[in-house]
Amino acid sequence: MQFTRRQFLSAVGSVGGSAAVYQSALAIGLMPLSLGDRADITPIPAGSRKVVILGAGLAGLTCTYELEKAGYECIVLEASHRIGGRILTLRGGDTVDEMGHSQTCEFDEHPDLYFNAGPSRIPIHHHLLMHYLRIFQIPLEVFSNDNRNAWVHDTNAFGGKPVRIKEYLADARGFMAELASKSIRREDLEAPFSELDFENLRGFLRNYGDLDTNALYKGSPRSGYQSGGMLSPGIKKQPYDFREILKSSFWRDQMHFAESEDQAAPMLTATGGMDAIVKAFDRNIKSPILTNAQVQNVQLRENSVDVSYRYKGKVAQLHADYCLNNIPMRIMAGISNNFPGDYQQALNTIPSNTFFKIGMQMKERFWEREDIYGGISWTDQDLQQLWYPSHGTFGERGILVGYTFSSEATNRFARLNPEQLLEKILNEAAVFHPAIRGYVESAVSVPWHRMNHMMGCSAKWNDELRTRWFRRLQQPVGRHYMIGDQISYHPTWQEGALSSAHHTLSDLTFRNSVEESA
Amino acid sequence: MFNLLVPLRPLVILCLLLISAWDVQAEDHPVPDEFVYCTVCHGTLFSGNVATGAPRLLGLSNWYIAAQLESFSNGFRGGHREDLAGIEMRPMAEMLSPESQNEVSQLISKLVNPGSATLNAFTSPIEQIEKGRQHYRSCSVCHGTDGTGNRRLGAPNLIVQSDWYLIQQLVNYRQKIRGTAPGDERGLQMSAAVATLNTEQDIVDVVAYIRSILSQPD
Repeated sequence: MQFTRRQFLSAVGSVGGSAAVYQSALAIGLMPLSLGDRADITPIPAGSRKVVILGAGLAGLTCTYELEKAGYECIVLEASHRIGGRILTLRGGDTVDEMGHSQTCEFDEHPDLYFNAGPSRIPIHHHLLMHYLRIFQIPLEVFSNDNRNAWVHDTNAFGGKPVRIKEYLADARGFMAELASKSIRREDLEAPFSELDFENLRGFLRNYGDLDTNALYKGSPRSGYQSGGMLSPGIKKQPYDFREILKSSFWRDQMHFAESEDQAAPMLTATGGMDAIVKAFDRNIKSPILTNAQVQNVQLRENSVDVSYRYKGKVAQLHADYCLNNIPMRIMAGISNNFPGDYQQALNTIPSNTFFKIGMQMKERFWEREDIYGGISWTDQDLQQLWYPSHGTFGERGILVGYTFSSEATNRFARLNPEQLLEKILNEAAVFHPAIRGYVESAVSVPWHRMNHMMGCSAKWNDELRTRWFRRLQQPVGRHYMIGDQISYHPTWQEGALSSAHHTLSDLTFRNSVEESA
Repeated sequence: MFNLLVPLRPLVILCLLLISAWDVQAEDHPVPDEFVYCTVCHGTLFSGNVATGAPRLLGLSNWYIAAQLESFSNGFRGGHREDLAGIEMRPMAEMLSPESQNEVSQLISKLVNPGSATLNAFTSPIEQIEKGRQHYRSCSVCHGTDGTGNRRLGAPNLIVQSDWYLIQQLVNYRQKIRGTAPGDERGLQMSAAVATLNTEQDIVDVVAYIRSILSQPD
């Protein structure tokens, strides 16, 4: 006698009830969701199930959009004055709700003058994100993520002077290729390495490093010419001392940044600001989204979840069949609940990143006069990155963005107020652009670990924490699910939020259907 | 059709609060709007949050909360570069006028613990508590044998505080991260007092004892 899976689950249901069916379904693995797959959501009779979504970040909005389409009755509670979570595009007049230092963005009103304080660039292999951008028909444009005309600066190399990234790369590759070429001897290469293979290897190195016919590196037009090159012969620049390149820290990470997993030289971005996706969800969601509604208490019940929240000075209660929780784990850790002890411990334990960004309106696009159009200059100072706008070329004004991933740097920023921070950033950016201070009209900084209702950026997982807690947090507790990029292997990325949302949607709607059929 | 509905959203919300399928019941919230801010880090019931590094305030006396807010605003606390949580707190205290500092201190001290905001379970071994008891003798002079504090000496109630926060503050005092600002008399006193705790293990032991006071039957 052979059982189908459904028959098996039905048999389990008749003995153990719906919860047993769901547990068995999890055990026999009915819900594998592959990379970039969307959940297969079974529609239900309209309004027959209620879902409360905590937090209007990308995962919360996605779940709401998909569930209400399938007939679920949804409500979203958002603690902040705005929706979108860390998808934050700042324009003139916007409030930056930094704890203790509330700021108002004073950029001029102009379609090009905006600052993506959260996600800014879209990797084209993030298929869920591309799916929503496509169905909402969000206009996209190219984002220049790697510009070899931009600068690299290191306090301990090149006498502290910035060099063009193209010069650095050309010289680094030239020296490496020459060194490799000198060290490789035909007799050291064993069969099946043929004579032809050996010649190809030498050719590869010659081209990799732009070596001369004697396999020596004598500078390269890849660095740009010292002079000439158009109406007179091009004069090559003198290569830098290779030891200076080795002294710098650029080769440790930043030199290969655009080649890392989710990066690329050209990427995509939403025209006019990344919050276009938030606006699109908002337009397409009918369910109520309450802002300034702070969750107070989450209570798991046998087959439901009770949520109380503060709204307009009152505490209100909601009783729902499911609760999808997009609140940052570190904030949820301080919200009353009746979660199992180890689940609460997990929320207490996972730390977060402290990424920092600052957007500065410049009255002239002075970097264009230095042949820089888009891309990133890198420094080993706290500032780390200076981003040039890929859009608005030849416009009157532009927004430069400072960005650091470094928690050591943000710890040093901790004691500074926004004015002091701008001062520090300008001092450091002056290594690239000594006159930068004269161009600044206004600035707004976003230290994510000090933003109200956030108090951190993305979840900072490591292997040990993942082994101990990831599965625990990815699985529901009762009818409550933690969601968001925090519950993914791609924290900080929108694709992480969308993947978590679809994983949860798949689990929830499958669970609902097996329970119904049982 | 969706687009038509968007301008109606405030109306939808209003209906929802009145008669919706969600059956919302509203009652007054004990924390006024201007202090909801504090609950983001300190937890919705001021019961503390180890993940944001914000201590439990529930159960602390009005005078102690007010004194700490004053310490943050005048730089006695939150001035050391390694005290990241203190640095985060400092501009919050600075935002509040002396009247608001008093108001929020009164408010928090009057909040009633609804029972769901319990401290984490007490689990230390007996031997550790015994070691802690020895160390606590010198603490008890100011904080009281029952750990409930002494207003005249500025010594806070310890038994309402979470273990992680007590440990962190004792470590901060020992490492001169707290209690060294000129003019901070209470802090300087406490700095001198922690000299009786020679190692981090002593600190963990004494906190284990403090937590055991809480779990003793009355």
